[in-house]
Amino acid sequence: MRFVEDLRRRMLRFATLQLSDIGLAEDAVQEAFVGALRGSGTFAGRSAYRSWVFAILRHKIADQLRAQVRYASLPDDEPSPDVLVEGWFEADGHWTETAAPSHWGDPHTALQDNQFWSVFEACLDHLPEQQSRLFMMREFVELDSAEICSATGVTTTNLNVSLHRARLRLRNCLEQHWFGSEDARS
Amino acid sequence: MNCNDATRALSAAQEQTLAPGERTSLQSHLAICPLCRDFGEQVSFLRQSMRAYAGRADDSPGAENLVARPISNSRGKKCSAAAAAYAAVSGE
Repeated sequence: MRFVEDLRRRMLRFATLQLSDIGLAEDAVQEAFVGALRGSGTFAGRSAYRSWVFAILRHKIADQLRAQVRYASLPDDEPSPDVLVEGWFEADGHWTETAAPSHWGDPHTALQDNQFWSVFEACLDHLPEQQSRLFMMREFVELDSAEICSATGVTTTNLNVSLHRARLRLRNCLEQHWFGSEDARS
Repeated sequence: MNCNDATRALSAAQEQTLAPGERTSLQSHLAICPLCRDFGEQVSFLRQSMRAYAGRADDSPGAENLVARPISNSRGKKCSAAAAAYAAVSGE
């Protein structure tokens, strides 16, 4: 079944990224499918099923990351310079004219728009890998900072640097491709 | 405190309570800087939208929309496998 194969592949990619271990990732994905089977028959279509199975996977990954202490750690190198983000501020620390945020009005109406979510995903997709991994741990898997530092070996300072950059990039990307465009504002 | 510092503090405030001195500096900056006030609202919105994204049950429209609204990767960095994997979650 193509849908399930695609779903499984995507889940495995996400789990592998988060856990840095293909074996653990496969186990987590398998458990998520088994968990979803227990609730089968209650889904209103594929999207509901996908949301459900991903919710289970998210919990599995959170449990696994909490249980492992620096098992899947990345070397806590100083985050390499992010020249894109650094270019958004003048030498004196003020926003450059082109990068300065504009007012988004009430952005929450966008959450009802499927096209917004495509843009949102594409913006997530364009984060550098380390920023993406940490940002997703924080905001999608919903680990707190201490849990992320414990699971990855990244220091709090470096975690904050990566999250700051990820937020700057996402904000900028959404503004460029959604909130700043005429059709999105109308 | 300049804008770069203020955005750093606003991001950090999503993770932990700021030290009193930093909070005061941030508030002073925000009082005079509408750009950073907007940034602060947008950071909060990002968290809310990530929650909505994690929980949303609607189908994503799909890759054809991304082709229609292409997003250039500013410095030519490769898509991270991580983010790509994640973006794939709700359909491409």
